[in-house]
Amino acid sequence: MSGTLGDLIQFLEKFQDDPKGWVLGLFFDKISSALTEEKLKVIVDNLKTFENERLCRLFLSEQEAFLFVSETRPDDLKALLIKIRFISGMQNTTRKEGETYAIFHLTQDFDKLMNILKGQTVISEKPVLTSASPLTQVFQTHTDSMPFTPALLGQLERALQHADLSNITRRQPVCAIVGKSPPLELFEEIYVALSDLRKALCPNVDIYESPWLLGRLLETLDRRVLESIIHHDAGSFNKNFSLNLTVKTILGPDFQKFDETLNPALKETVLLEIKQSDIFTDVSAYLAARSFAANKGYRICIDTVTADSLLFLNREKLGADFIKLIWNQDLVSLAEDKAFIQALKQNDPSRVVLCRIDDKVAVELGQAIGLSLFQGYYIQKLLYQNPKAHKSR
Amino acid sequence: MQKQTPEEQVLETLDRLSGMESSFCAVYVAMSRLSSENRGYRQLEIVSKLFEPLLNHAQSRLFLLSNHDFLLITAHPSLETIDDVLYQIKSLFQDDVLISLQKPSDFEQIFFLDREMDRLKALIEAHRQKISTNVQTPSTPSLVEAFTPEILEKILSSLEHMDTLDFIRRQAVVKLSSKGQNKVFFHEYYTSILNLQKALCPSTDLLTEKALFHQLTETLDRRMLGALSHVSLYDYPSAISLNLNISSLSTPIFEKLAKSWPTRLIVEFQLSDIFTNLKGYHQAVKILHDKGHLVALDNITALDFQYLDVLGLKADFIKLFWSPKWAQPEYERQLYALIKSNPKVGLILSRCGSEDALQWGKKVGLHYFQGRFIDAILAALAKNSCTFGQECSLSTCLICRSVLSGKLRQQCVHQRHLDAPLEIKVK
Repeated sequence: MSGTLGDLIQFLEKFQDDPKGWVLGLFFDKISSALTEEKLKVIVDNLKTFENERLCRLFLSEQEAFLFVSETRPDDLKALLIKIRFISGMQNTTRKEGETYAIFHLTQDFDKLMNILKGQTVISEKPVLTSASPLTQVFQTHTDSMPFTPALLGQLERALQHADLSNITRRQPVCAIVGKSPPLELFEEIYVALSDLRKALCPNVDIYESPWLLGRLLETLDRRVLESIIHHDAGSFNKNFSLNLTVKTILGPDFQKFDETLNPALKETVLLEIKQSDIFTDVSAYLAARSFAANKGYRICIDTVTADSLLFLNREKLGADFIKLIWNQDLVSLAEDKAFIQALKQNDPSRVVLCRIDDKVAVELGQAIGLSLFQGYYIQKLLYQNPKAHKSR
Repeated sequence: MQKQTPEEQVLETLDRLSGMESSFCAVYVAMSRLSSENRGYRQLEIVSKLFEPLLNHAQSRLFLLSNHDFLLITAHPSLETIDDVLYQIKSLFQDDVLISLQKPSDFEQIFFLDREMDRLKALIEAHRQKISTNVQTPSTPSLVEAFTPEILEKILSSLEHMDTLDFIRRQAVVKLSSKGQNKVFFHEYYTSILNLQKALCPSTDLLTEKALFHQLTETLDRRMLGALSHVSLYDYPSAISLNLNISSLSTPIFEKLAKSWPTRLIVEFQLSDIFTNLKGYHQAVKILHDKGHLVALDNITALDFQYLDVLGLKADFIKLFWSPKWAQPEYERQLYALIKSNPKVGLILSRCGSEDALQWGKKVGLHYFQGRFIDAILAALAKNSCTFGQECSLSTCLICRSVLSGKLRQQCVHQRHLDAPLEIKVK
């Protein structure tokens, strides 16, 4: 019968004078955002079957599993790992060993494993955000909801300063869909999943209740994503992606460092998404940032545009390459509205991305008004149903 | 060993160029000549970025001098690129009052080192000597502490225990008509951020972090709306304007003031707030109009007009942020056309800090004005018509007229006169 993590610690302590054997650690909450309950059950069933068939011990918690095998059976463990990676989709991610799983050879790694189990360190060098992380204790001591205050924002920012955000950083594709053709991916937007961040760090805090503090948090996350790209994922993020940035960040030292890591020839495939409100806070600063970024080869996308704000924008005059128009049901009636259609025409529909799409009605309407670029969960789903289109970019 | 100053580094670099002067030139940008609000860290960052096209080879170097002037030394310069870069830098500061009062060569200079090395060295040497004798130039910006969430928390906490009325100021918007029917049209009531900063966090520039500043203004809105309920004046203008966040309009405290204030309200909105919540803005306009109040757009620059359909926001008033840029032919033409085709929109020339601004505004057909120059005119008129006018200085009168209560207002021996309507005669 599978034991708990407490049982594992007691079990391992028996070997501390002469540690032998192998332990496979699996960290479910970091394996994949697509790890459904069903898949998790299959994995756990496989672990239990393995335990029953071989001389080994399984220790389980909600977030982790540790499987101990004797000194002579490492290959069994590795074969099992291959199977689990296949079931969970871990083989399709760029996450590294140490983040989703780890294999400990107790002869060398006994102390390291014990420290992890006793909560004194984490596997990756940086603290990884999980709901069990010590960093979260500040925010999870209360069961009632907590207001989102500047003090709390300060604590969040400190927690984020050195944390590894890779498990809550997401990519969402922007695709071209013409007629009945399957979606063809053009680039991916890289962003931090706020809901996952909230779940990991402050589930009792409504971070959306204060738009300005949320805006500041997003700025902080922008910069952390930049750092993350510079230091950890340069191989994955070298072309065909977009980032959400403020004018201030583009003009600051973090962007400078980011710029230095990119192959100059590929900068044209990188889009910088700037919120419309950021542009109109200080048009002259925006123009300076745009000029600076354009000279480097980057392209600019005006983000968070709505059907009514489109009427006020002139994409070409603002020197932007794309506009992201937020989908909502109001667009259905606006499809017949002359002023809206005129504004769309003036901004060039081929440069407008209809985003936050959650069903095919949005795609059909978008196509009806001349759009061909789309983004959203529905598009993601369509794209992943057609793996060739996903890999063809 | 003492660290070299930038000036010493420049002089050392120039010395190393001996014999190679013909290949080099220097570009000098005198940020110290700008107004203090244009010499912050953000502006310095922006300008340093704009120099990038000239820094693309090993024989270029950009120095930031101790007084925050920039000096670029570069070999084999492309004069076209230099021109482009300087044009972009100057464009950023077209609004600066000091730029308009100086010769172009006071702000930017190019030195061809084969013939102007000595002149450049003399300029840098003069800077170096000022530093070594600890002479503080008036252009040296002071150090600021970063505006963090923790500082915001402290400010908000302090505000709980303070009388916000002490920080509320008023400034008149006057209507000057060609028929001589001049009057104070309304007063803008606002929280003085400068005085708040001085009182609560003197080494922090609250304007450097927009998101945190906006969060602060939400609290300041509520405090001001609450404080105004306790204001008692001898006379009220026909309207007052309040700078508010869109979100503040749905608060009970705004509802209470809107019902209790004896005159009309004009609510001023910022573009940054509007374009964060455009739907909310349209709703706010409808609600205010339905209640008989009015809407104004604040801080609209010449660039805003160029890049945005400002009139499409359908405000009753638009406050134009005065800068000499407005007097440039393309913007002036745009304004003439605007006034002609939209006679009902009240265009207010705000930040009139000089007679030039006022005269320009009258020339292009504007009727509403606001700013320090207007305040000075009104203070002079008030002083001259006051029984006790001889007992006060003009600056005291200015200060007393700008506050609604408290010790500053109590300096005035004739407080009734502070609120009294004035007969305005302006040439």
